[in-house]
Amino acid sequence: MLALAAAVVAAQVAAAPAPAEPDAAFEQALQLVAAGKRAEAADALEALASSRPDAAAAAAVAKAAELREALGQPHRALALYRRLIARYPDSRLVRRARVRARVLQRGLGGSPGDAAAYADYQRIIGGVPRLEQVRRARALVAAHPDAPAADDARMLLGSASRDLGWPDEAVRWYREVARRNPGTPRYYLARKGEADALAAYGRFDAARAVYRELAATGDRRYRLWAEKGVEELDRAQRRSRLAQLAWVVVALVALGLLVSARRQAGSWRGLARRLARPPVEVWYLAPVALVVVLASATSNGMIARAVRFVLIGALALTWLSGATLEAARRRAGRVSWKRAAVHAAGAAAAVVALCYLAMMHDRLLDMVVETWRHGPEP
Amino acid sequence: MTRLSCAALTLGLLSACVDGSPPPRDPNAEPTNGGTITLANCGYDVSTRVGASAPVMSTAFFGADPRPEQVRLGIPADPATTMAVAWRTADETTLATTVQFGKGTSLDQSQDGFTFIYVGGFNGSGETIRMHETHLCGLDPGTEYSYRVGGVGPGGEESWSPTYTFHTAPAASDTSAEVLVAVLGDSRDGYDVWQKLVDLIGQQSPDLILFSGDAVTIGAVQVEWETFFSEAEPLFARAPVVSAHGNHDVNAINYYSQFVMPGNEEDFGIDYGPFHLTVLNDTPFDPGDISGAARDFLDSDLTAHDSAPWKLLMHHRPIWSASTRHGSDTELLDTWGPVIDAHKVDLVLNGHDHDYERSKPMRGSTPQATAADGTVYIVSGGAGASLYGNGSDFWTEKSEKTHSALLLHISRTMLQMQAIRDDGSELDSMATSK
Repeated sequence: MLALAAAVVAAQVAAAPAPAEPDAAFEQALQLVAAGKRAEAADALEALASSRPDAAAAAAVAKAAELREALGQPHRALALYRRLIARYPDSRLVRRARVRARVLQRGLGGSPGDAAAYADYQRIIGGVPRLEQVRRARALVAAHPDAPAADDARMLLGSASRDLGWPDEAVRWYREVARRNPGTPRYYLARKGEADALAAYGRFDAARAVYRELAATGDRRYRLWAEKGVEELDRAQRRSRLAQLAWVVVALVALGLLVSARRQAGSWRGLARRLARPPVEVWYLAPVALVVVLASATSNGMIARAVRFVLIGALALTWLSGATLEAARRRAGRVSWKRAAVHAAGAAAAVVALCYLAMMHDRLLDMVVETWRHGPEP
Repeated sequence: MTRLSCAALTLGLLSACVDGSPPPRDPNAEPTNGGTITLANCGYDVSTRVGASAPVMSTAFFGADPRPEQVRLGIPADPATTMAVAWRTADETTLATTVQFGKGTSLDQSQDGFTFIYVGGFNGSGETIRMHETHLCGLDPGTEYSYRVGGVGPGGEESWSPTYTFHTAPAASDTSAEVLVAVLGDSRDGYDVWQKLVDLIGQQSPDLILFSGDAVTIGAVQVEWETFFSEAEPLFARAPVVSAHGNHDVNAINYYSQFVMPGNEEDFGIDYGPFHLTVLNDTPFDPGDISGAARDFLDSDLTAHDSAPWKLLMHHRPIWSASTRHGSDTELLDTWGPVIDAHKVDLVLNGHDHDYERSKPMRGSTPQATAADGTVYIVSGGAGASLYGNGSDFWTEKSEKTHSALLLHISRTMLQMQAIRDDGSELDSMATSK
């Protein structure tokens, strides 16, 4: 069906009489592109260019070349670019044709294997899902390990592996690129990719070592990359430690409350009975929390999540804390000031920790800092 | 007087000052209240803002190191016949500001430009920066030109940049022209990603670069701009760049002095081949302008260009975004949305959220079946800044947390969009025709 459509367009193009028709035929071919029929469009455009060897055909040649590239047919694309440069030297499209021809020539390399790898790589990067990209890029590297396109594929494997949550894979591919391209710009890009992948997955020391290497190169550009990387890494490490501490505080306070409540209740079953009845604090807080959570849900998703996290956490702590205090009151008639002070301090620490954890999620803290520095958005 | 100043300067900044050379005063001690100069070759005036000195025409004077750097192209008027070239020199005192240019590979013409200084930092507390700018007018549409920038010193010594090429926009009458436009935004301090994208986009040789704001983290800090423009020279010296103001650009004099754009450089329109582009500042100095001057300009500009085959709008803050960071901007939706709908804008380009997102075609707050029935909103804020979480909502067609750029192929009857990640792989594409 697609081939038929192409044949129809090509036939229309070939049969087109002289002056008024090229635009119409060109437009018909573009409609095929809009419909996702790239191959048919390229055929039609090539036919158009052949049937009208005048300057008006330059646009058809250029578009056909672009489509051949997208279709993973670099040799055909290169031939079309060369044709454009030779036949229509005054066309405004020649400059791009020269650039693309240079890029293609470099990519196609010197052997049929290099050319096959390049064509394969172009297909891989052309709108293929990430997982499929990884599978096909691995196959390309295995089949043509020394082709110029193989290093492109390795870099792609690095970034795709990082995106897919495979830091070890990412690091392996970046290191492979660096090993094969010492001292080149690609080496530094690979090292930066490696460091970023390590940092993204919390391997701060390893990442720092790579950034240090980059900083030591003496080149201002790479030093800047490293400085930026280290700056972010320091921040991430600091925040990671604080987040761990925050979780420990929340866990300790919750555990302390639980143990205390269990002691007051006399048994786990007694505690369960106490906890089944929400203490009076919860009755106050719950409706307020509900209103705030619902209100925040109408706006920024990141803020809504943070509000939800803080209020649900606070509600749980309040429940536990209220049950503990109530049990203490029932057992001793009143709560000693020492117990009340420890209780209040623990609860305050837990709330601060909860707030910090909420701010860390989605890097809400960065937005708050940005707002602090630059003022609220209008 | 001249001799005394020259001797004094020789002890200080201007070691290249020679007897009889023109500047009798420190060229960096000019008042920065802005000013206007008439460009005879173009028939229009160019103004600088408060924070910058009045522009002065090129003078045969070299500072200590007159090597041109950070060369970039801009669009001050009709891009089919006009091109602006701006650059800096390694020193801040060189006054020679000339472009040698010609059709094809020749450099048979010469055009003097103007130079001015501005003081960066907050409230003029930063260093003094000198810009050089030359406008080339009366060019032929759709034509390739070669050029180099620099100048000639008082003793006849020369200092030139490498030779670059650009081409002018196709003539409005060229109905078969297809143009390639690259779109980037939010590079900030992600210098390695910025470099990767500059390389990738450069390999496509675009006609025009659109930048949706936030080139740097703090617009008043010059050192960030220096890196941004240095890295971008291979791209910006070959295709003109048009920028929308971003919130991090902080309406700094650095921003307005370094890009060359039409009108007030905040809210303006450009016809480029088959499309009309409207650019708006959505973080103006006076927030009231959003519902006032900017909205009025949007309406009048689109009214004046309703017959354009394609209408594009670029500003910084996204009207539709499911990102976990900023999300949709309801103020802009309420204020500009009805105008966008009324004039059937085809594509809105935004940044601000550091991810990629393409909306379904929207009319009001309702997704439409086809692009012909609504406006597609694209958030492409991934040119380097740390990424934000992407999201998905009822308007989302595609979103991804990734560094990216867009390539738009636009002809009279078709608009093709390809979004690429910073590793070169395609993350999204779209084609629509009229």
